[in-house]
Amino acid sequence: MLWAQSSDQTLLDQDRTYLLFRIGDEFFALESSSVREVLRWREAVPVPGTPPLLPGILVQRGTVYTVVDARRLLGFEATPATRASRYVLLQLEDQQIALLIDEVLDLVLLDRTRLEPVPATLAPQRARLLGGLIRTERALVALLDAAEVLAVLQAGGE
Amino acid sequence: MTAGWLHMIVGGQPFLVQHRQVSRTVPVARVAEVQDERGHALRQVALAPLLGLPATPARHALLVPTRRRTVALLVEATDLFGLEGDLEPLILPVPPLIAQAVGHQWLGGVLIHNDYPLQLLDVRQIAQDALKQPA
Repeated sequence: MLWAQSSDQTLLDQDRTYLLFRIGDEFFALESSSVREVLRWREAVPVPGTPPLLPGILVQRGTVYTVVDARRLLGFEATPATRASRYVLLQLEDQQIALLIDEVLDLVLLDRTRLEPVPATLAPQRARLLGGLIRTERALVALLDAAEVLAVLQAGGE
Repeated sequence: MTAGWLHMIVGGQPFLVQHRQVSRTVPVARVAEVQDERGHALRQVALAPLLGLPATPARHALLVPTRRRTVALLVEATDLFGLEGDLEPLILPVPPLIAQAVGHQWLGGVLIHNDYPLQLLDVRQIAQDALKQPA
Protein backbone atom coordinates (compact mmCIF):
# COMPACT_ATOMS: atom_id res chain seq x y z
CA MET A 1 0.00 0.00 0.00
CA LEU A 2 2.99 2.30 0.44
CA TRP A 3 3.36 2.36 -3.33
CA ALA A 4 -0.31 2.48 -4.32
CA GLN A 5 -1.77 5.62 -5.74
CA SER A 6 -5.44 4.72 -6.03
CA SER A 7 -7.35 5.96 -3.02
CA ASP A 8 -9.37 2.80 -2.80
CA GLN A 9 -9.16 -0.73 -4.07
CA THR A 10 -11.53 -0.17 -7.01
CA LEU A 11 -9.80 -0.76 -10.32
CA LEU A 12 -10.29 2.33 -12.42
CA ASP A 13 -9.90 2.52 -16.19
CA GLN A 14 -6.73 4.53 -15.81
CA ASP A 15 -5.23 2.11 -13.33
CA ARG A 16 -2.94 -0.59 -14.57
CA THR A 17 -0.96 -3.18 -12.69
CA TYR A 18 2.79 -2.76 -12.71
CA LEU A 19 5.69 -4.77 -11.41
CA LEU A 20 7.75 -2.41 -9.31
CA PHE A 21 11.49 -2.99 -9.05
CA ARG A 22 14.70 -1.31 -8.04
CA ILE A 23 17.94 -0.70 -9.88
CA GLY A 24 20.52 1.04 -7.74
CA ASP A 25 18.71 3.71 -5.77
CA GLU A 26 16.05 4.25 -8.38
CA PHE A 27 12.64 2.73 -8.90
CA PHE A 28 11.15 1.41 -12.10
CA ALA A 29 7.94 -0.25 -13.17
CA LEU A 30 6.92 -2.58 -15.97
CA GLU A 31 3.35 -3.20 -17.04
CA SER A 32 2.47 -6.62 -15.67
CA SER A 33 0.86 -7.80 -18.91
CA SER A 34 4.31 -8.37 -20.39
CA VAL A 35 5.69 -10.12 -17.28
CA ARG A 36 5.50 -13.92 -17.30
CA GLU A 37 7.39 -14.75 -14.15
CA VAL A 38 9.97 -13.55 -11.65
CA LEU A 39 12.97 -15.79 -10.93
CA ARG A 40 15.62 -15.83 -8.28
CA TRP A 41 19.04 -15.03 -9.68
CA ARG A 42 21.14 -17.86 -11.02
CA GLU A 43 24.18 -17.69 -13.23
CA ALA A 44 23.32 -17.27 -16.89
CA VAL A 45 25.01 -19.56 -19.40
CA PRO A 46 27.41 -17.37 -21.38
CA VAL A 47 27.16 -17.35 -25.16
CA PRO A 48 30.47 -16.78 -26.96
CA GLY A 49 30.63 -13.42 -28.65
CA THR A 50 27.76 -11.63 -26.91
CA PRO A 51 28.27 -8.12 -25.50
CA PRO A 52 28.11 -7.47 -21.72
CA LEU A 53 24.54 -6.17 -22.15
CA LEU A 54 23.54 -9.79 -22.93
CA PRO A 55 25.36 -11.91 -20.32
CA GLY A 56 23.92 -15.17 -21.62
CA ILE A 57 20.88 -17.40 -21.75
CA LEU A 58 18.87 -19.43 -19.27
CA VAL A 59 16.11 -22.02 -19.37
CA GLN A 60 12.86 -21.81 -17.44
CA ARG A 61 9.94 -24.23 -17.93
CA GLY A 62 11.38 -25.50 -21.21
CA THR A 63 11.90 -22.07 -22.75
CA VAL A 64 15.22 -20.40 -23.57
CA TYR A 65 15.41 -16.80 -22.39
CA THR A 66 17.92 -14.15 -23.46
CA VAL A 67 19.36 -12.50 -20.36
CA VAL A 68 19.48 -8.70 -20.51
CA ASP A 69 21.40 -6.76 -17.87
CA ALA A 70 19.01 -3.95 -16.97
CA ARG A 71 21.75 -2.00 -15.23
CA ARG A 72 23.76 -1.78 -18.44
CA LEU A 73 20.64 -1.16 -20.50
CA LEU A 74 19.68 1.86 -18.39
CA GLY A 75 23.19 3.24 -18.12
CA PHE A 76 23.96 2.21 -14.57
CA GLU A 77 27.36 0.95 -13.53
CA ALA A 78 27.48 -2.83 -13.75
CA THR A 79 27.64 -4.59 -10.39
CA PRO A 80 27.64 -8.25 -9.34
CA ALA A 81 24.32 -9.89 -8.60
CA THR A 82 23.20 -10.12 -4.97
CA ARG A 83 20.75 -12.32 -3.07
CA ALA A 84 18.04 -9.81 -3.90
CA SER A 85 18.72 -9.86 -7.64
CA ARG A 86 15.94 -11.25 -9.78
CA TYR A 87 15.15 -12.07 -13.37
CA VAL A 88 11.93 -10.62 -14.68
CA LEU A 89 10.83 -12.95 -17.48
CA LEU A 90 9.22 -11.01 -20.30
CA GLN A 91 7.42 -11.96 -23.47
CA LEU A 92 8.00 -9.09 -25.91
CA GLU A 93 6.52 -9.92 -29.31
CA ASP A 94 8.29 -13.18 -30.25
CA GLN A 95 11.24 -12.64 -27.91
CA GLN A 96 11.69 -14.24 -24.51
CA ILE A 97 13.78 -11.98 -22.31
CA ALA A 98 15.06 -12.40 -18.76
CA LEU A 99 15.65 -8.89 -17.46
CA LEU A 100 18.19 -8.90 -14.64
CA ILE A 101 17.27 -6.33 -11.99
CA ASP A 102 18.47 -5.54 -8.46
CA GLU A 103 15.29 -6.20 -6.50
CA VAL A 104 11.60 -6.79 -7.06
CA LEU A 105 9.50 -4.68 -4.72
CA ASP A 106 5.81 -5.05 -5.35
CA LEU A 107 2.93 -5.46 -7.75
CA VAL A 108 0.99 -2.20 -7.73
CA LEU A 109 -1.76 -0.24 -9.35
CA LEU A 110 -0.55 3.00 -10.84
CA ASP A 111 -2.79 5.80 -12.04
CA ARG A 112 -1.63 6.70 -15.52
CA THR A 113 -3.48 10.04 -15.42
CA ARG A 114 -0.73 11.13 -13.07
CA LEU A 115 1.96 10.34 -15.63
CA GLU A 116 4.62 13.03 -15.88
CA PRO A 117 6.91 13.49 -18.84
CA VAL A 118 10.49 12.30 -18.74
CA PRO A 119 12.77 15.25 -17.87
CA ALA A 120 14.67 16.68 -20.80
CA THR A 121 17.81 16.59 -18.69
CA LEU A 122 17.74 12.83 -18.44
CA ALA A 123 20.43 10.97 -20.37
CA PRO A 124 19.08 10.04 -23.81
CA GLN A 125 20.07 6.38 -23.38
CA ARG A 126 17.70 6.09 -20.43
CA ALA A 127 15.07 8.62 -21.52
CA ARG A 128 14.31 6.65 -24.65
CA LEU A 129 13.38 3.58 -22.61
CA LEU A 130 10.92 5.35 -20.31
CA GLY A 131 7.24 6.00 -20.90
CA GLY A 132 7.04 8.61 -18.15
CA LEU A 133 7.29 9.12 -14.42
CA ILE A 134 4.71 8.63 -11.68
CA ARG A 135 4.98 9.96 -8.16
CA THR A 136 3.90 7.53 -5.48
CA GLU A 137 3.66 8.01 -1.74
CA ARG A 138 7.14 6.63 -1.40
CA ALA A 139 9.14 7.70 -4.41
CA LEU A 140 9.25 8.69 -8.03
CA VAL A 141 8.80 5.68 -10.29
CA ALA A 142 9.98 5.53 -13.89
CA LEU A 143 7.78 3.49 -16.21
CA LEU A 144 9.82 1.27 -18.48
CA ASP A 145 8.42 1.12 -22.01
CA ALA A 146 8.62 -2.57 -22.98
CA ALA A 147 8.24 -1.87 -26.70
CA GLU A 148 11.12 0.60 -26.61
CA VAL A 149 13.22 -1.85 -24.62
CA LEU A 150 12.76 -4.40 -27.39
CA ALA A 151 13.45 -1.82 -30.11
CA VAL A 152 16.68 -0.77 -28.44
CA LEU A 153 17.81 -4.36 -27.99
CA GLN A 154 17.03 -5.13 -31.61
CA ALA A 155 19.07 -2.11 -32.62
CA GLY A 156 22.02 -3.53 -30.78
CA GLY A 157 21.47 -1.93 -27.41
CA GLU A 158 22.30 1.59 -28.55
CA MET B 1 22.61 -43.81 -27.69
CA THR B 2 22.47 -41.93 -30.99
CA ALA B 3 25.78 -41.59 -32.85
CA GLY B 4 25.11 -38.17 -34.35
CA TRP B 5 26.41 -35.90 -31.62
CA LEU B 6 29.48 -35.14 -29.58
CA HIS B 7 29.49 -33.48 -26.20
CA MET B 8 32.55 -31.39 -25.45
CA ILE B 9 33.85 -29.21 -22.65
CA VAL B 10 35.50 -25.95 -23.65
CA GLY B 11 36.75 -23.53 -21.01
CA GLY B 12 34.73 -25.39 -18.41
CA GLN B 13 31.50 -25.01 -20.37
CA PRO B 14 29.67 -27.83 -22.18
CA PHE B 15 28.77 -27.63 -25.86
CA LEU B 16 27.27 -29.91 -28.48
CA VAL B 17 28.80 -30.73 -31.87
CA GLN B 18 27.46 -32.61 -34.87
CA HIS B 19 29.55 -35.74 -35.17
CA ARG B 20 29.58 -35.58 -38.96
CA GLN B 21 31.61 -32.35 -38.80
CA VAL B 22 34.45 -34.18 -37.06
CA SER B 23 36.56 -36.79 -38.85
CA ARG B 24 37.91 -38.11 -35.55
CA THR B 25 39.14 -37.10 -32.12
CA VAL B 26 42.64 -37.74 -30.83
CA PRO B 27 44.45 -37.05 -27.57
CA VAL B 28 46.22 -33.69 -27.69
CA ALA B 29 49.53 -35.43 -27.08
CA ARG B 30 49.14 -37.22 -30.41
CA VAL B 31 48.04 -34.32 -32.60
CA ALA B 32 51.59 -33.65 -33.75
CA GLU B 33 51.73 -37.18 -35.16
CA VAL B 34 48.75 -36.61 -37.41
CA GLN B 35 49.15 -35.14 -40.87
CA ASP B 36 46.56 -33.61 -43.18
CA GLU B 37 45.70 -34.74 -46.69
CA ARG B 38 48.78 -33.04 -48.12
CA GLY B 39 51.13 -34.52 -45.57
CA HIS B 40 51.39 -31.32 -43.55
CA ALA B 41 51.13 -30.97 -39.80
CA LEU B 42 47.65 -29.97 -38.68
CA ARG B 43 46.81 -26.40 -37.81
CA GLN B 44 46.08 -26.46 -34.09
CA VAL B 45 43.58 -24.01 -32.62
CA ALA B 46 42.74 -23.77 -28.93
CA LEU B 47 38.98 -23.34 -28.87
CA ALA B 48 38.52 -21.82 -25.38
CA PRO B 49 40.34 -18.50 -26.05
CA LEU B 50 38.69 -18.31 -29.48
CA LEU B 51 35.31 -18.40 -27.75
CA GLY B 52 36.37 -15.94 -25.08
CA LEU B 53 36.28 -18.62 -22.41
CA PRO B 54 38.86 -19.32 -19.69
CA ALA B 55 41.85 -21.20 -21.01
CA THR B 56 41.91 -24.66 -19.50
CA PRO B 57 44.25 -27.54 -20.27
CA ALA B 58 43.18 -29.25 -23.49
CA ARG B 59 43.18 -33.01 -23.47
CA HIS B 60 41.41 -33.76 -26.75
CA ALA B 61 41.60 -32.52 -30.31
CA LEU B 62 38.67 -32.57 -32.71
CA LEU B 63 39.91 -33.03 -36.26
CA VAL B 64 37.66 -30.91 -38.46
CA PRO B 65 38.12 -31.20 -42.23
CA THR B 66 37.54 -28.10 -44.34
CA ARG B 67 37.96 -27.57 -48.07
CA ARG B 68 41.44 -26.22 -47.55
CA ARG B 69 42.83 -28.40 -44.82
CA THR B 70 42.03 -30.21 -41.60
CA VAL B 71 42.09 -28.19 -38.40
CA ALA B 72 42.67 -29.63 -34.93
CA LEU B 73 40.41 -27.85 -32.44
CA LEU B 74 41.82 -28.31 -28.96
CA VAL B 75 39.23 -28.83 -26.23
CA GLU B 76 39.16 -29.85 -22.59
CA ALA B 77 37.21 -33.04 -23.10
CA THR B 78 34.89 -34.72 -25.53
CA ASP B 79 32.52 -37.67 -25.49
CA LEU B 80 29.65 -39.16 -27.42
CA PHE B 81 26.28 -37.60 -26.65
CA GLY B 82 22.94 -39.27 -26.74
CA LEU B 83 19.49 -39.17 -25.23
CA GLU B 84 17.76 -42.04 -23.51
CA GLY B 85 15.72 -44.17 -25.87
CA ASP B 86 17.73 -43.02 -28.89
CA LEU B 87 15.62 -39.90 -29.19
CA GLU B 88 16.85 -37.31 -31.63
CA PRO B 89 17.80 -34.08 -29.87
CA LEU B 90 15.41 -31.22 -30.50
CA ILE B 91 17.63 -28.30 -31.47
CA LEU B 92 15.96 -24.96 -30.89
CA PRO B 93 16.98 -21.87 -32.87
CA VAL B 94 19.41 -19.44 -31.29
CA PRO B 95 17.36 -16.65 -29.64
CA PRO B 96 17.05 -13.81 -32.19
CA LEU B 97 18.71 -11.16 -30.01
CA ILE B 98 21.65 -13.46 -29.38
CA ALA B 99 22.01 -14.42 -33.04
CA GLN B 100 22.00 -10.76 -33.95
CA ALA B 101 24.49 -9.75 -31.27
CA VAL B 102 27.24 -12.29 -31.79
CA GLY B 103 29.82 -11.38 -34.38
CA HIS B 104 30.09 -14.86 -35.84
CA GLN B 105 28.13 -17.74 -37.34
CA TRP B 106 29.35 -20.36 -34.92
CA LEU B 107 26.09 -21.15 -33.14
CA GLY B 108 23.84 -23.74 -34.67
CA GLY B 109 21.13 -23.78 -32.02
CA VAL B 110 20.33 -24.73 -28.46
CA LEU B 111 19.34 -28.06 -26.94
CA ILE B 112 17.62 -28.03 -23.58
CA HIS B 113 19.17 -30.95 -21.72
CA ASN B 114 18.30 -31.47 -18.04
CA ASP B 115 17.11 -27.84 -17.95
CA TYR B 116 20.49 -26.66 -19.22
CA PRO B 117 20.82 -24.76 -22.54
CA LEU B 118 23.43 -26.78 -24.39
CA GLN B 119 24.77 -24.71 -27.27
CA LEU B 120 25.42 -26.38 -30.61
CA LEU B 121 28.68 -25.19 -32.13
CA ASP B 122 29.35 -25.27 -35.86
CA VAL B 123 32.94 -26.44 -35.64
CA ARG B 124 33.32 -26.52 -39.40
CA GLN B 125 32.56 -22.81 -39.57
CA ILE B 126 34.88 -22.20 -36.64
CA ALA B 127 37.66 -24.12 -38.39
CA GLN B 128 37.13 -22.21 -41.64
CA ASP B 129 37.25 -18.88 -39.84
CA ALA B 130 40.32 -19.93 -37.87
CA LEU B 131 42.17 -20.69 -41.10
CA LYS B 132 41.62 -17.11 -42.21
CA GLN B 133 43.61 -15.92 -39.23
CA PRO B 134 47.41 -15.97 -39.11
CA ALA B 135 48.82 -19.13 -37.54
